Amino acid sequence: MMDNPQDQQDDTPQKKEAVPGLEDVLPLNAAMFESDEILPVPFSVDISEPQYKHIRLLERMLAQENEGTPPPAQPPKAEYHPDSFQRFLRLAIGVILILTISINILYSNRSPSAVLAVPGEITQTRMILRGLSSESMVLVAFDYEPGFSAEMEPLAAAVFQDILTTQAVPVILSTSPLGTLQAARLMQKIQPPTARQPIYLGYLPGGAAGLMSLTNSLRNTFPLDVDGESPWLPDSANPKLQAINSIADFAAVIVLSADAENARNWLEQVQPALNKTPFIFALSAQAAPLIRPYLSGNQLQGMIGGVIGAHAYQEPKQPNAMLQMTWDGFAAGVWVAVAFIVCGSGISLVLLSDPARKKRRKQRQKRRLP
Amino acid sequence: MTRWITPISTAIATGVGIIVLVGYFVPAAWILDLRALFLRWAVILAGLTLLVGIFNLLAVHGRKVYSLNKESWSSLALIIALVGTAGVIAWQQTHSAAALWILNWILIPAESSLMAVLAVILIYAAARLLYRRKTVFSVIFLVTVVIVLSGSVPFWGTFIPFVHDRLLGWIISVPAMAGARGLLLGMALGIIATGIRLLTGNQHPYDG
Repeated sequence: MMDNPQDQQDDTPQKKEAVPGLEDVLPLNAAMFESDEILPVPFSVDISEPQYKHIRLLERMLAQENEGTPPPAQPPKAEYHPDSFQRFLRLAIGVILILTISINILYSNRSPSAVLAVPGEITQTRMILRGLSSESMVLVAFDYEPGFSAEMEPLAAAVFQDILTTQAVPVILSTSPLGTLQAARLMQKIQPPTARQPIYLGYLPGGAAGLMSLTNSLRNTFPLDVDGESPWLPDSANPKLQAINSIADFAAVIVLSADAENARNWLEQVQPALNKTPFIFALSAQAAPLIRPYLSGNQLQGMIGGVIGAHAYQEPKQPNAMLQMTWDGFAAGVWVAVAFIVCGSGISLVLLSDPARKKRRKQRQKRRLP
Repeated sequence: MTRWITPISTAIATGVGIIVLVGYFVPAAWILDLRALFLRWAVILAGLTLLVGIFNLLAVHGRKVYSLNKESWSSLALIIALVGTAGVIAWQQTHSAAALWILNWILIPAESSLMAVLAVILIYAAARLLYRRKTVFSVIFLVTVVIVLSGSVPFWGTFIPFVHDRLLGWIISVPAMAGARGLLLGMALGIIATGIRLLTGNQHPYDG
């Protein structure tokens, strides 16, 4: 390179200056890069104590740059692992819940416990269902998934006990593919041999559009029942169905639903066509609060919400067997949950008030950040 | 091809939507009949989509079985379960003893177990809420949860007097009702906005 005559003769400002094009900004002095020693500064500089500390720190950092990479630090053997403790806590909650509920179900005396304050809508539902006769046809929609059976079945059993006692005929449909099976399962459990056989219309697809179609034309929406026969013919198993031409001809419409969205579809699409036919909802505890505003707006004539609603609905003198079996276990499970929440919150507050623990927790959180 | 399909599908969807909507306001017989026809078609189509979904599921898991990797076994189990259940229901009746056996011993235990795990996780999350997020709203939330739960069920056969008959009723009928009404209004406005967008052709989810 040095032999190149062009390089030797290159005397342009770009070669003389460190910042090309800007003269005298940063003079290019070759001697600065040839010596390892720091050149003496020809003037004195006053530096403060923090500045001096920063310079020392920078020097140490530069010195460490040339050293080898230290081996990764091994975690101390007795380090606290929050994840394993949390796993233990979840397991403990699960085991205690299972034990408490199981013991209460197995050793429950199944006698009626404390009497609940009965809300007005439940009294209204009782009056409507107990006012049915053997001539009545009641449309019942089973709209819950198998996961909700534990909650919904005692509720459905409480309602069906009254329907079957009055000898009214339930006409069953579902907007869930498994609804008809759920209904058959319930009937198998609670139906006395003398009770009237229900009519299974089957599955109604299409969500809100399906319900709208049901409202417009009941017979066209369900030309056949689940057995593949027409339930509307005079020689069918239930000739009383001949009197039913629209959804408003039923003595009552009851919807058993675990989902607020489905329940809302029923209210929006079916309720306006019902005229004076009572409309009753039996809902899971999660769906009931969202549907309650429709009750106060008089779009519903009755509502039962969750296992607690079913417990309030049943007569203390004639308790529902399915409900009694689970009620004590349910109550015990709720109290265990309350105890865990109260204790957990109390312990959390105590732990958060300890400054050393608070500091450690923040450090752990920082370490977890990417 | 897509260039031609999009305007046609938009026109069909908008036209059908407008006819169904007009049916609510104008009780003319021909509009009501047309609306009823469209709704019946919608019900049949919805039933068919369920079938299409099942065939798609079969195809996806069939490919996984064929590829012979780690997921092949679970895919094979799914296909056997699906075909087996469909066979049982087709051979017997929808509410036959065999179908009930599948519901009682497979579907309900499996889904109920998931709900039970959810209950444990919810209790755990509520117990640790203050540790993770110590705010005024967390405290209000936890106090409400404790009041609602403890007011709903008896303790050793007796309801807690003031909590059960006053506080619980007030929470259900005032703050919970207000929140539910707010949610319902919000949902209604959202549905109206989406409906208008669909009817005016600004949104077309049917393009695929």
